[in-house]
Amino acid sequence: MNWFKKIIPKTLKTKLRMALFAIGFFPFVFILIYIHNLGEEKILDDTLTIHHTQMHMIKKSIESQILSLGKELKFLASLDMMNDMIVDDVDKRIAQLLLHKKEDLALNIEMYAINTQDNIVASTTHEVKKIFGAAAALKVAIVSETSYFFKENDLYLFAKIDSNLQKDAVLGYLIMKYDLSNLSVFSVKQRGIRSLFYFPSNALKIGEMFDDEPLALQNYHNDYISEKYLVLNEQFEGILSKGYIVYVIKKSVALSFLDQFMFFVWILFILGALVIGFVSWWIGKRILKPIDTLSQTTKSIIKTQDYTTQVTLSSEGEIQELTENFNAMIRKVNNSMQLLEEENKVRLLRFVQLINIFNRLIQTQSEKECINLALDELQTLIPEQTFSFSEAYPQDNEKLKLMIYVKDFEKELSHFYGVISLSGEEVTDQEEIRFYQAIATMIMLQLDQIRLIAQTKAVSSAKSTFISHMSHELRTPLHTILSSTQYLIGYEGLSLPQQEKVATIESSADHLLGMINDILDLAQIEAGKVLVSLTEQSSDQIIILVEEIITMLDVLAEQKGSKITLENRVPQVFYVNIDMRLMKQIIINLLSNAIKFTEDGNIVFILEICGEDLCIHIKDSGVGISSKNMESLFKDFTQIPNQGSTQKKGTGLGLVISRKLASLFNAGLTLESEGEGCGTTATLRLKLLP
Amino acid sequence: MVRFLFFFFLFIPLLHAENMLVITNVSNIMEHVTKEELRKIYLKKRRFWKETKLSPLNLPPNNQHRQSFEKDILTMSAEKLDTYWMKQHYQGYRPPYRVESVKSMILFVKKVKGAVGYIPESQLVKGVKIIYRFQEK
Repeated sequence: MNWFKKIIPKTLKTKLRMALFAIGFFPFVFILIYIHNLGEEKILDDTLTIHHTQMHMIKKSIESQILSLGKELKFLASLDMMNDMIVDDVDKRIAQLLLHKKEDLALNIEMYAINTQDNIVASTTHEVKKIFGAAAALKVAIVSETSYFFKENDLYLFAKIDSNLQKDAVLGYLIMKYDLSNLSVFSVKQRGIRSLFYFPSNALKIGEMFDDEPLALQNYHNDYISEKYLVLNEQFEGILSKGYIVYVIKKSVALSFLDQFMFFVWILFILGALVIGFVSWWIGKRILKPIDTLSQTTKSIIKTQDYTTQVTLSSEGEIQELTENFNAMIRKVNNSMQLLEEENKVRLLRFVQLINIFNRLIQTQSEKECINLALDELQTLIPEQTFSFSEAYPQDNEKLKLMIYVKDFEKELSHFYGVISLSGEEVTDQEEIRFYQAIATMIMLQLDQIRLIAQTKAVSSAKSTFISHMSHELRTPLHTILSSTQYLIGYEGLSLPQQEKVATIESSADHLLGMINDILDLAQIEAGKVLVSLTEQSSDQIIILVEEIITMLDVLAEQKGSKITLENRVPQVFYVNIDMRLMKQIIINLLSNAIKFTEDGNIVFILEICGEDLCIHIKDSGVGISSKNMESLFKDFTQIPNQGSTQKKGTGLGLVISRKLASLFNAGLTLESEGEGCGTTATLRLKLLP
Repeated sequence: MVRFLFFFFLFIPLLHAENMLVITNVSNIMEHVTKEELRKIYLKKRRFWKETKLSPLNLPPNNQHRQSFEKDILTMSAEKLDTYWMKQHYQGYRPPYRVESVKSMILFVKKVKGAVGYIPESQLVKGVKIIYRFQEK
C-alpha cells in the first residue's frame, strides 16, 4: 500500500479533489449510463421500426401488386370479348389480349383462358386445346370460394368468365400463373441489407442472401439478432399470407448509428471525465491555495526560525480567520520566544554565578572563611539585599532567613549553627527562595565537609599515634616475656611437659612481637615516619644483596626441601635509584613468603630488563593463588584462606608492607599466578636511571 | 385485255351483290322476322323473343357485310348509329356483341341460344336457322 500512498498522497488536497471528482463524476456517469441505455434502446427501436416500415412498404406494394393483378384479371374476365370463349377463341382475340396484357405487365406471368371442360382456349404460351395442368387445384380453389391457389412455386390467380350473352352461363376461367420469383423485383439489395421472401410451406426462398452465414429461418415468426445479423420478419397478408418477408441486416450496418452513438457516448465519457478531473483538480488547488501558502510560510518559519514572518492572504471567511489566528499565534510565539530567551540568559547567568559561588565555597578550609565568603559572594551577586550572619536563633519570621544547620556525625544529629538574614526587599518568588536555599544547602554541605575532613584527620592521626604508641609500649613487656621464657627453656629443672608449655609461650610471644613490629612498620609508613634515603645503586650491587639474602634464608628453604637459584639476565650494568635498606626488607619479605608457601620445590630469582625497568622476579613452584584471591592480597591484614592444609603463621601484612615500602622509592610490586597449585611469581620493578 | 379481264374477274365478287342471310340458333322458336323486327333486335329495342334473351352479333365495323346490313336493314349511317349507341350507353344498353369473322359468328349462333347473326349465303352451314333474307346492294 505504500506505493499507493506514494502515488496518491493522503493529503487534504487529494481528498478534496477526490471528493469533488466523485461529486461531479458519479452523477455524470449516471446520466451517461442513462443516456447510453435510453439511446441504445431508442436507436435500436428506431432502427427496427425503420426497417419494419420499409418492410411494411414492400409488403404493401407486393400485396397491392397481387391485388391489382387479381383485379386486372377480374377486369379481363369481365370483358365482353370473353364471350369468344364460346367459340373457342376462333378469332384469337383473347389470346392476343392476354399477350398484350402480359407485355404490358412486363412480369414473369402466364395467362390462360380455360373453358368449363378445363381445356385451354387461349393462353400466352400458345398451348391451345390442351387440358389445363393445374385443373385439380383450380377445382379445389373454386369449391373453397377463393380466387387463387398455389402450385409449386407459382401463384395462380383466377377469375370466372361469365357470359353476358347467356344468362348464368360460366364460360370458363381466366387464370394467371404468377411465378413467385417475380417477387425478387422487390427484394432489397443494399449495402449490408438483404431481403428474402420465404414460404415455409414449400421452403421457397426468393432473394439473395449473404454468403457467409446460412440463416436459421426457423425463427421467422419473430425478429432476432444473431451473431452478425439483425433478422426481421413480417408476414404477408391476404393472398400471400403463407409467406414472410425476412430482412437480414448486417449488424455493422443496422447498428452503425448505434455504434456511432456509443462512440459519441464514450468520447463524451472520456471528455467529461477529463473535464471533471481537471475542474476538480483546479478547484481543489484553488480552495487549498491559501492553506498551501500558510503551509509554505510555516515551513519557511521552521527553516529560518524567523518568527517575525507574517502571512498575507487575500481570502475571506474561514481561511482569513485562520490566517489572522496564525499570524496572531506567530506574534505570540515570537514574543514568548524573546521572553524565554531573555529569561534563559538571566537564568544561565545566575547558574554560572551559583557555580562560581559553589566553586569558591568548596575551596574554603575553615567554617568562618566559608561563611564570610558566602556572605561576600551573595552581597556582590545581589546588591539590593543586605546579608548578615548571626549565631543566635532568629526570633521573628518576617523576612527570609537562611537557616544553617550542621551535622554531628558521631551522634547523627543536626544542630543549629547560625542564620543568614536578608534585610532588604521582601523575597516572594518561589524560584528565588529556592535559589537562596540552594546556597544555604551548599554552605551547609561545605560546613559539613570541613567538619568531616577535620574530624577524619583527627581520627586518623589519633589512630596512627595510638598504634605507634601501643606497639612501642607493647614491645617492652614482650621483650621481657621473651627473654624470661628463653631463659626458662634453657632451664633444666623443668619437666618435659612444662618445657613444652614454656616453648608455646615463647613462640606465641615471638609471633606477637613479629606482628607488633609489622603493625608498627605499617603505622610508621602511614604516618610518614619512615625515612627514605635514596642512593644510586648498580645492578651488580642488587645481585650482591640478593645473594646475601639467599645465603641468609637458604637454611629455611632447605628445611622445606626447596632450592633457591639465581639467574642474572641483565646484559650490562644498569643503575637504579633505591633505598638499599628498604630494598633488603622487601626482598626478604618476598623470599620468605615464597619459601613459606613452597614445599619441595624451586624458587628462582631472575634479574632482567623489561622495557624501561629493571625487574626482579621471584618465581616459586608453590601453592599459587587463584585470580579471585589475587585482588585481596594487598589489603591490610589479609591472608588467603585454605593455603595448603595448615594456616601459615603471619600477620598478613607482609605484602602490604612490601608494596608500601616499594612505593616509597617509586618501585612497583606485582604478584602473578597461573592459578592454585601452579606457583606464584612476584615481580619488583625498579625504574632504571637514564 | 387479259390483264383487264383478270382484274375484272378479280373485282367481280366485290361488285357482285350477294344474298345475305340472318341466322339464329336452331333451338329458337322464332321462324321469321320482319325487317322492322330485325332492326329492333339489332338496336336492342327488343331484347327477348318469347322467353329467350336475344344476343345479336355484329361483324367488325369496316366489314362489307356489316356495312350493307346497317345500310339495308337498320337504314342508318355509321355516324348515326354511333350517336344512337352513345345515347343508349347512358341508359345501360350496349351495342350487339362484335365478332371478328363470319366463321366465329356462325359458331356463336350455333352455340348460344338466342344469338342472331348475319352471314352471306355462300358461307351458310348446317345447324343454323335462317330467319331473314336480304339482297346486298
